[in-house]
Amino acid sequence: MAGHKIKLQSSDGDTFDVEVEIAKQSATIKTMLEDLGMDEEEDVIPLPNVNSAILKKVIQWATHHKDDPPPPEDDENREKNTNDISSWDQDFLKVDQGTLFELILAANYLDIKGLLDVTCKTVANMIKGKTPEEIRRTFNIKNDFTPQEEEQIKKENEWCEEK
Amino acid sequence: MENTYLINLPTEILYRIFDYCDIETILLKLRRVCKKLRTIVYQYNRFHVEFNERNIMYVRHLLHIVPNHSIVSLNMQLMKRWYEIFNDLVHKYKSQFTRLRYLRIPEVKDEHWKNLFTNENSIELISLKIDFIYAPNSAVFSKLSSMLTKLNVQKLYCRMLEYKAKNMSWPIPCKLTYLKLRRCLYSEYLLLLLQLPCLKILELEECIMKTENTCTPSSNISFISQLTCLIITDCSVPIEYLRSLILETPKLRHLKLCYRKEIFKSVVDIYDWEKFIRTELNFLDTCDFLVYYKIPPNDKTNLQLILAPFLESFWVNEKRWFIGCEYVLGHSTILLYTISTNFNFYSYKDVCYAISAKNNNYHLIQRLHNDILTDGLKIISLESNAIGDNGARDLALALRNNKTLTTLDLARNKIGILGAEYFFESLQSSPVKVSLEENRDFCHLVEPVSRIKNDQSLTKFSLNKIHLKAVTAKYIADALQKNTTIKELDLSYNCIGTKEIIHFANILRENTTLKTLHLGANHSDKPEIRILVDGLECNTTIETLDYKPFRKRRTYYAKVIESQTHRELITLEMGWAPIAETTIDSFFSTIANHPTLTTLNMRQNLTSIDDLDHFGDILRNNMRLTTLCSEKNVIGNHGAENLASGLRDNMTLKTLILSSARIGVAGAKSLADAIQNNTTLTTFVLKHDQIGVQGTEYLANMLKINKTLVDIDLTNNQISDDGAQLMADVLVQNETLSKLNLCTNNIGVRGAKSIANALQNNTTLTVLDLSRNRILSEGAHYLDNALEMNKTLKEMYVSFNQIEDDGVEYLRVSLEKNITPTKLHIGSNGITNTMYK
Repeated sequence: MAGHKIKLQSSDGDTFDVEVEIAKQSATIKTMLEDLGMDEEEDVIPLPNVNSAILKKVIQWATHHKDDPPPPEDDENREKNTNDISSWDQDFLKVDQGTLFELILAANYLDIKGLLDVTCKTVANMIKGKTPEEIRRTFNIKNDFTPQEEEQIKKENEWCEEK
Repeated sequence: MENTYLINLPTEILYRIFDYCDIETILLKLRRVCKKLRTIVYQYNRFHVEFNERNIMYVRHLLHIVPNHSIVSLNMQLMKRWYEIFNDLVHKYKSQFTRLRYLRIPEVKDEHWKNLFTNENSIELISLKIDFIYAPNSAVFSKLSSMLTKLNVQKLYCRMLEYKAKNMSWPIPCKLTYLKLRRCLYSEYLLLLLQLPCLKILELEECIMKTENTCTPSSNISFISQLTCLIITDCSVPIEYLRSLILETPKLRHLKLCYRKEIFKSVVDIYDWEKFIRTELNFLDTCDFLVYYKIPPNDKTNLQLILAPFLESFWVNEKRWFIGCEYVLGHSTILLYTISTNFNFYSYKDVCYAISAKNNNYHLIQRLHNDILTDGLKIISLESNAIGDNGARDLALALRNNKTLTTLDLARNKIGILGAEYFFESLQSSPVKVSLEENRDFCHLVEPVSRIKNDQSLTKFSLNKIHLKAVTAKYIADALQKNTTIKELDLSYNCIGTKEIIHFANILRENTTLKTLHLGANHSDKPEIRILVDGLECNTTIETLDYKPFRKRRTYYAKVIESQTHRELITLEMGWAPIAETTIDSFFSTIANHPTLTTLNMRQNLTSIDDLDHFGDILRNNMRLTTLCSEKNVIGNHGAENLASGLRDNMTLKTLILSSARIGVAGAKSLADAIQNNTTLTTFVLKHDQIGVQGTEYLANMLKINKTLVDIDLTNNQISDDGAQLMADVLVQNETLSKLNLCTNNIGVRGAKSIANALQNNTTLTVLDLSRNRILSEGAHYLDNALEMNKTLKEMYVSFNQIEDDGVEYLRVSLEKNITPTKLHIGSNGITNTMYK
């Protein structure tokens, strides 16, 4: 079956030829292909929520990971380890925040578990070890607490401030 | 606000991100960022809580904020009083852990078992993990059963639990879908399958084969195991048992076996293994394995050969199971394993090199310390890995088809010449640069030595300052024996001793192309010289032998020279070898009568006055010698006289060098008289010879008559201004002298002035050295004026003369007008500005 291709169409109308096996890492596309019987070569799968630039990145990721074993079933005891991102993925995700978050949304929409996991891990790593103010600065978030609220939160947390 | 991507994410995705954050980050940091995040944090109900000694205090505080039912996983690390803390936690708060799905508890003490989970009616787990530190006693089995029922456990992890079938009664019906145990017997494995009908994943460290009690469950029970995944991480089950083990599990789809014991005896076993999987396990979706193979000594295993069957279509196309083959450096062990991204074994972190067959292609890959496999490597660093010669052989073989690797660092790996040769032979056409620093036996010499063997254009070869050892010396010598082109070999500064010199002496016996051999500065002593001379005796081609430290061994010199077969010696260097009295006659007569010797270099050889007679004899009798150099032989005026008498009749000597001979005024006179009408000597060096003004006068008078000398060197003879005046007079008359060296002679302004005046009309001198005198800026001024007129001088040395800026300025001006001098050495003159031209 290797080599059999389908066409994916981005929100800006570009089409991408992708091997079926690669595209099927997206549960969304897999379901479409199976449920709708869209396996004819001419058929184009429209992906209105993903623009060309992001789709290109997604295909790049999926191509690299096409030989990965299927992800293990959801496991409650899964160690929440964020240090196991492969070096290829780390390089792949060295992008601006806009791209990173669009990738998250695309992975979510396309239901590509591996990509969603690795992007969420990356964001978690950006959060870890930072103070609230640093998190605000990193993600461009406005502090909308009133001084009174701030004071109250501070009080709430007094016991662990000097930690 | 623009670009606030994070807080605009759908809540479900934010929760996913929270899933990767610890409770502290979520409650103490994210909650305090902004109102929106605070709201989302409060709604989040998938907290993972970990208690350990360090965070226990504040996590307990944090739990005031989080309702218990928002906690899905509770991880109690091993710490003092964990049991009390845990009980406290479970009982204290009214709200129960209704959504707790995962619980991990550490070592449970015997007294705890009694009350553990007896009162918790609301906890319904999915996973229970008990991290025993030591294998628990059998009482645990009876407790486990009720615990599993009570907590509704579906997944049980007891890594250290050694299963005892007779003690354990599983709940009926047992809902376990996942079980991890340490070990069980092969028979118990089958029993487990029977007793745990829902079990889908079974993970064991080992399944122990005990043939004496292999009780298979009665086969008349119609039962189909639901097991889909079997993992044995320290497996030793042989193939035939594995076969029957798998026969019991028709639904098996995933198999992971790690053989950490060496069950494979030969490559054939590996091929059998491949066949077994291909023919009998082809129904699996995934099959991960790692097998060991200890290479027997002298077995030339080829990694590519081992990998060959795994390149079949079944592996690379059908199943896409890619196999890696690693050579464990320094252990003569081959690891064969499936490559997958989450394949995680415990050890082998030191394994560095692998070949994999990914995407139907060979790739060179390296396993980094955290088990990340990379391909298309450009640089591999394998420093300090005790690779040895055999490892080098395997690496070299593996790299033969390499296209991507450019640098391979193998420093400190105990690789010898043998190992280095593998690289050299395998990688000649490859782009790889192999670095072999700090290995054994100077194995980096393999490349230069191979040039000795193969490069037909090589005529001169240097291998100095490498401190040869015997192995290396033999290696080089063997190569030299096959060489027919090298004429000059430099092996100086090599600490060559007895063991090494034997090899070079052997070359001398057989080699017929070598003409020059440098063996200087090798700290050799009597035995070494003896060996070398024995070799030299048989040699007929050596022309120049430079072996300075023939200390006090002049008999060997004599022997070399006397040797009738050895007729080609042209140059003899004999530094630092004082000649004793006993055989002085024969030694000098040998030299004097030597048929080919043309250059004799003696440095600190003569010790007694009597030697001096012979010195003259050499010149009188030897009609081939063209160069005689005597350094630091204090011959004095008597010796000079003797030499002069020999020189008078000599018609061959072209160069005479008498350095530090202390010939004095009288000696200068004798020599001047002898040379006056000589028509062959062109170079005369009298350095550090204390001839003074008067001696200079004799020489000057001689130079006015002599028509052959072109180069005279009077360095350091205290000739002063008067001597300079005398030499200036020579320059006015003489029409042959082209080089004059008056360095270090205490010449002042006056002397400089006289020489300058002479230079104005001289048309032969090309090199004048006046450095290390005291001509000052005034002297420079005179010289400068002279240079304006002189059209022949090409080089003038006036460094160390306190010329200073003024003097330099003079010289600069003249240089601008006259471009003849091409070199002007003017350093160390107290000049502030840097010089010009």
